Amino acid sequence: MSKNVLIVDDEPNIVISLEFLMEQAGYTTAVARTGDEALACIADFAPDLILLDVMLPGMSGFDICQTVRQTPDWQHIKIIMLTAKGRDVEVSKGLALGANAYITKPFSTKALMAEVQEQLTDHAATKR
Amino acid sequence: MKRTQTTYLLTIGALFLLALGAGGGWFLASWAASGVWWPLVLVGALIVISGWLLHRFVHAYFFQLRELTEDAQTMLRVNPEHRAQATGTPDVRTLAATLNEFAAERSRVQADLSAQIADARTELTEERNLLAALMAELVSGVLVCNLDGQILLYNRSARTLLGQERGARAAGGFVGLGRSVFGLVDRNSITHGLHQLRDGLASTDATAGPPICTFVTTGANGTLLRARMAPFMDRDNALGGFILALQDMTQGIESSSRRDFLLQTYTEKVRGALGNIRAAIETMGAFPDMTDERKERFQQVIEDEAQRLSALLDRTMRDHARDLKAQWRLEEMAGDDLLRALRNNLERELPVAVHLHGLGQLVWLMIDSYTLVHGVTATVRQLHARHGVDALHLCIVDDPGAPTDFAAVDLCWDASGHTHAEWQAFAQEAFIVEENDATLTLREVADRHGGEVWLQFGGDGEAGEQVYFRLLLPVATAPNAAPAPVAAPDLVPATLESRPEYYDFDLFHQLGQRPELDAQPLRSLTYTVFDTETTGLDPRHDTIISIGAVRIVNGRVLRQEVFDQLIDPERPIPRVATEVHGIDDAMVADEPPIEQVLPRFARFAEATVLVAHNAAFDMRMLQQQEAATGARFINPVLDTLLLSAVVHSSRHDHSLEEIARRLGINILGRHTALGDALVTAEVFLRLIPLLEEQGITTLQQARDAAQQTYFARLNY
Repeated sequence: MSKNVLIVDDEPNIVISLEFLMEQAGYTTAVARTGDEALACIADFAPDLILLDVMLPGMSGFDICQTVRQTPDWQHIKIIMLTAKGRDVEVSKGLALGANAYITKPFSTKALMAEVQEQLTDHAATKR
Repeated sequence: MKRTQTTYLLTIGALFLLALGAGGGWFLASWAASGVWWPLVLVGALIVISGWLLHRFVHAYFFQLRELTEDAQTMLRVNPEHRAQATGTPDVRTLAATLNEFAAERSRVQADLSAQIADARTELTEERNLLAALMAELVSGVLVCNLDGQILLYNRSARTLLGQERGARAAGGFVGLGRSVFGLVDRNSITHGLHQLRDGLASTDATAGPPICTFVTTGANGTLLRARMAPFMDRDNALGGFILALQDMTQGIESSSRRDFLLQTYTEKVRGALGNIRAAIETMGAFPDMTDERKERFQQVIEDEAQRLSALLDRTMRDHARDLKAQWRLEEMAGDDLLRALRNNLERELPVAVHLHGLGQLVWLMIDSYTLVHGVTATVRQLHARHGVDALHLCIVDDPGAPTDFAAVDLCWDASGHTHAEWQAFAQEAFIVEENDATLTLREVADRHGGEVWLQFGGDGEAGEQVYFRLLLPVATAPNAAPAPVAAPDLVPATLESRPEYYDFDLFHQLGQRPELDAQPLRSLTYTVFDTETTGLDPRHDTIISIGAVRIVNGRVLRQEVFDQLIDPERPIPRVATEVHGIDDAMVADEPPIEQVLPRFARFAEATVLVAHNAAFDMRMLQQQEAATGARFINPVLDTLLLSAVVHSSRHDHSLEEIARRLGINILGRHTALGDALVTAEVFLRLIPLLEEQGITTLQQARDAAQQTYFARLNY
């Protein structure tokens, strides 16, 4: 069964690339543009991994990350945060709030794919 | 002395009555025996005549002598130009004349002496004024304090940085001589600093300079101040106090934090756009077989993002150019002044003639004039040495192609003798920035101003072809837009003569004045002399509309440390009152109400003795407002009216004008609260030696004496 990847970003110009890349890698994708949309989507779509942008209209990526980590049913979901904020303190914050990885824009697509695969394999392994 | 006079008077009176009794008895006996009426008339006449003679005698030798004594004391202690009234018997008149001669002789001797002292002190005064002028012009705030934290010296900047400006309503301390520094600067910081200074002084390391410690504190309007604290030594070479130098950090912090913020947001936006471009391109590269439709969408992303980046760059440069290039210390300078400075320097350093054109334009530039003048001079030196140029033209021109906030400064000369290519080669060289080369090039000058420079040809008219360097320099946004030099628009007169009041070195040796004020000598107390103007004379119904006050510290009236505030009474001012003090409804319309002013005045007067003329009235007025304003005035109070009655008990007129005239004080600006307070202060200072003459030297004694005078019984 293919893994589900939820893309949370309000910028269509990056969503188009992410969506295409994930589909090519054989994942099922869904896209959310705001924090509220994202939370609704997590419930319906049951993603295995979330690509989460920090800067979103309304609820921020940090808030979503925290909400996911506080929900018992969602503990297994992997979160990779994507952000244009490159400061070390923000990386620390993201990881502290429960993100599994933190990738700063601009990023290499190869590195991103490797990270996604790594996270999902890891997940499968622990489940076994 | 008084007792002797009284005894003398009683003796005379008794003798007179005795003689009257004896004579009367004899006449009565004779009359009863003879039955004649005329001895009775004789007795009556004798009584009247001798009574009149006695009155004359007492008046001449008692009252007139007493007035003469007061006159003599005034001449001796207070006003050497005062003269005794020559009235009364020839004896008294002769005495008065002799006294006046003495006084005149003394004045002459004193004048001689004063002249000699003045000569001897001129040098000292000059040095003192130099120090005062230096202090006054310093941009840093300077406070000098003794170990108790009392302020001995301060400058205008310190007052601006720490103090409460006139009319400001914010809570905050007052900067003033003799006041405590702890109300202005955090006590812990100062205590900590003092410890560090003591430790530094105790260390035996002779190579280390005097210890200095620094800390950050908050100023009057929440500004951040950097404080440097240094020790000063007393006569015994022990720590005598400290010097605080204060600088406003806020501006530097603001501009650098704006740059930080800018850099951060800029980086973020660039990261986002680059991320999108990179993801799109890499995806296209990784999957070359994607459909054309999809490919087009990816190409569209790349185009979008590239344009977004360009727009972002333009916007940032436009909006934040000033922040980005503000690393050099630029100052405002009038364009004409710059041209003149350039000409003067060029003609002084080099054998060239410089002509200025187009003077009189009101252009203000933001420049580092030192860099500019030296950069231009270095270039002209090359021009002269290599190409023999000896005549130059300088002007500020309006370059329509330049950005609106830049002005063009042109440096022109005659192009003949060399080809364009040769001049351009020269320019190229002139722009080269060599490492470790101290010579400034025009390129560097332009860079430091965020401007540009280039070589151009033109003006091919009768004067022949011209070649010029055009230097674009930033224009100041508005004349004097930069932080104005610290200038206090308030009552501080900017004359050198008045400056010395800013410091008082006698306070060096004064210990804290917490202990019993009552036992302290009048001369050493700190006073707040004040006056009020009111809506009327009934303390129960009328209210204060103006308070003026001035401080007396160590026997000097500090004319810079004044309180001068109009108050909105929130009711119409009666015309009768306006006729007295000239304050009408319109003048107080925008002034603060009493609830705001009295607490400020209470802080101004804190820990001082209050002095007023007819103080009972003013105190009643102040105390009437205590409940409404929360400001309590529990300071000791002295009244110049009562004190005048103590020293001049034989006079009946104790109005402020009359006392001032008697004591030789010029009256200016009366019937404003501050004007009257200043006159009262002068009066009070001159009353002190007269009180001492009567053995009244402490605050307690002065208050007791005042209470005993006749006027004290007239309770308001």
